[in-house]
Amino acid sequence: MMGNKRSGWGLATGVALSLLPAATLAERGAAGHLNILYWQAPTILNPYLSSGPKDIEPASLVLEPLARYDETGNLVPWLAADIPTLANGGISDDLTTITWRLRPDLTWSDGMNFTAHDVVFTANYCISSDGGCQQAGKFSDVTRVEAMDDLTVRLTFAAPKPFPYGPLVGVETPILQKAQFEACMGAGAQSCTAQNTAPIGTGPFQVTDFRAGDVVTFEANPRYRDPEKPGFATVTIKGGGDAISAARAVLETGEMDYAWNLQVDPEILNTMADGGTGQIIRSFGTPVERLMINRTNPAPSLGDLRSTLKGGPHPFLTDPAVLAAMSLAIDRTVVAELGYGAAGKPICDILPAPAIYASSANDTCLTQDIDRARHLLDDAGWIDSDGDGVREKDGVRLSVLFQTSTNPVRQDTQALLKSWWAGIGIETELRHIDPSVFFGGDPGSPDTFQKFYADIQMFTNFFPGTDPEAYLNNWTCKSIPAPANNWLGFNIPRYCNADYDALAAELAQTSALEERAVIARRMNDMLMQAGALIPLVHRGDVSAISNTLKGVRMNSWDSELWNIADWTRAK
Amino acid sequence: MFTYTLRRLAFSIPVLLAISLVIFLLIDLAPNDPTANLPLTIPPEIREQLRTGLGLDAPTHVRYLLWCKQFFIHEPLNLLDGMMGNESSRLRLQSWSTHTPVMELIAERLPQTLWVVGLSLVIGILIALPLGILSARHQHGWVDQFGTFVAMLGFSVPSFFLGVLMIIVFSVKLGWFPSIYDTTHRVTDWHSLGVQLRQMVMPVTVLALFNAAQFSRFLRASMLETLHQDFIRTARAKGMSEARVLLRHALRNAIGPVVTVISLAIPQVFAGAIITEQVFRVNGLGQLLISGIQSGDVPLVQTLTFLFAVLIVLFNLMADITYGLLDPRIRYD
Repeated sequence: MMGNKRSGWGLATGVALSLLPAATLAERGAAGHLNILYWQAPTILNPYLSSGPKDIEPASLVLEPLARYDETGNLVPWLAADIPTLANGGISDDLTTITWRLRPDLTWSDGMNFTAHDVVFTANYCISSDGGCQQAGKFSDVTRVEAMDDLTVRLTFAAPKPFPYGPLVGVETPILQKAQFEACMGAGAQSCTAQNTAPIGTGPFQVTDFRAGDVVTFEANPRYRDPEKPGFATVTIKGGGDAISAARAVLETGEMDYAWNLQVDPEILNTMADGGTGQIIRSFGTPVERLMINRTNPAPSLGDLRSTLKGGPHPFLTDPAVLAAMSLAIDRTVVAELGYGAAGKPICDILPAPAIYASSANDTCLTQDIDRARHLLDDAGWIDSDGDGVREKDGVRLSVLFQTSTNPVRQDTQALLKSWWAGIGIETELRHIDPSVFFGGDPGSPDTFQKFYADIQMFTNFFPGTDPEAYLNNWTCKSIPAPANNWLGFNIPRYCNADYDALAAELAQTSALEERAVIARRMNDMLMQAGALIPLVHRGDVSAISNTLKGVRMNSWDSELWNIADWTRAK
Repeated sequence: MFTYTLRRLAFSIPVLLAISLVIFLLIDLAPNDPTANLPLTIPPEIREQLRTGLGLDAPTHVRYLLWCKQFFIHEPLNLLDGMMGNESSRLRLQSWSTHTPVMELIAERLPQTLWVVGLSLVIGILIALPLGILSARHQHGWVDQFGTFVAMLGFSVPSFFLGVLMIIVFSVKLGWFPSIYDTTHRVTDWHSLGVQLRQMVMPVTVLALFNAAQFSRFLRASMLETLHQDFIRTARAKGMSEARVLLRHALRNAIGPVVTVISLAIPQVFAGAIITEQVFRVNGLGQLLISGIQSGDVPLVQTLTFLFAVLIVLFNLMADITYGLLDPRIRYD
């Protein structure tokens, strides 16, 4: 049902898009040359041997997947004729197979026909490549890939997969040409320099020159399926330098048309945007900067039981009034603007996107309300009885240790939060730890984010792709880091709730997208209402485009260059 | 002199082998992980497989000997095969991050590095020679004051500051020169030569200023010392022209230490200019080295640093030999 609806939409937008340029620029390549700047330079164009965005996004000009995500996170058929669903029979009733039907009459840029055998080859190329395939995780549950006929491919999974759109979908796992890569299976993969730097694809462009770590040049694919596209005849993707100078090249000197990943001090970026030659564009995926609240007791006196369920609950951070007051005292708009500028917006949910998963039940947190926060604490019996500015109850003082990784933006945020919390009578001690130690995951170190020997900590987490199931599973009881599992697991707040676990189990059995979204939103709301996590800022991707460039639809779910075939130049 | 050269060359072989081992151990002991830069979404077991795939599970000495075999045996033989026009199937030194032979990467980067860094060395020398001589000749005169000012500027203003300053003035405000170096640009006629020169102006200026500052100071000091000696007074007393006194008598005696400094600067040309290349996106050997270090690309970093070591050893020898040629009083045999 979903798939039909969506392919209908896809058709409608497709028609609209092909009509629009036809009115102005009817000819392939009429827009001339396009200059793109990826300041981390591309070093290889085979996404199976490098998973960095700097490599897979330039490769997306050439290589295409069966389906990809548009800028709203919706799946659109690309090399496939439609999106397989339970309703159209593309997904089997037991959820263990998915059958893709390919678009007919597709050709590779060298003139060969694109068939199901290329798709099967690509999957096997990754599965059998002796540890060289960086996307192997996408294929981990795939037991069999077979071509039913020249235009039909079936993937079989080891276990039921309610969301089977992992392998061969999206920018990370596009289709390679069997004829070109046949000799590169297994150990040969590493020495196939010519193939890895100039893959033959079905996309709008083909590689003309590749210099690792420096520059890649492309020309329009003469056999691209839409005779009016791509709008540009040639493309250069230049690398090197840093983000600030990349922004300058688009916004101030106008030498470049597009600059990617501009994680630059917001003040500097805004000043550059006044340069007049370009503008800043942004899009939001799933990363959220959040506070994690330790629901277990981190007191050093507990020894090995510190910050574990066995050590007992936290003396005050399980009190809903305290958690609600702490969240209310934060002005998220200030945090977002100060630290992230265009790349951040205030958020009250841990699951912010795609749109269908975004809950609106917690939006009251967007407005700071110090008075109400004080009121909540008063009512809960937390009173500053000795006049030292810190509230207490039954001999427990509201004093927290707040840690995060060393990073100027995070230290600014820490200072802001400390002052707001001081205003409602909560004392905060700040600490920051070198990122390589904090995120290093060394079980021997007491300072890792998993051990969480503090009351509150802050960092960003996100999930790849658009399906939040694995991400939401992070907060089930079994994902709690503890000595028994060598401190692995992402349930940092040590949140454990049977109702939540039951919803997670239900999500694993549900295939229809709307139902999945309902469950996911409920899980998000449950976490938010328990106060296990306090979201702060929804972090986005920032790029810059020239004022003359038209057709860019910035995308956080797929390659930023996903619709480059539609890009043109304003006259 | 010939036997001396042979002896020095023979002695440099064990030296270079020792250097290669030290470099390898340094890189190996340093905490770097070629899978560290991968997105967080790649699970740990796949990272482990990737490391195994790169041969990182082998013991240190095996990996070192493998590198030696590839560098000292396979690569020269491949070069020979390439010259004879044969296809070779020997295992080449592969970069981990690009999966291309290291030697091809170096060959790709060499032209822009030689153009930009090499030219800056030449221009630096061309500025430093007259500046150093005249500064010494008219000590405390206006040329000397100017030279001191330029030298102070060249030494004390870091290239990442000067480079960005030049971009803001000449690219953003005036629009005279491009801020991004186009390595794919081909010089085919006068116009394209003009484009090439324009894109080289800023990086070459930044680098040449430092070179000129360094060389001119050395030359000035050395000339000052020479100009106060008796044989100069004698030459002047004999009625020689000032140019002859300066160039034939003083410069020839004073140039020795400067030649040493310059010949030791030549290997630096091949090492590229890490910061300046980054600022102007020249993407030469310096940028290759730094990106290799960042991505934990051991074969690339090892090969590059070792090649620099070879060049430094060779140019040290060259400096000694030139010294002897310039100053007949010095004989090594």
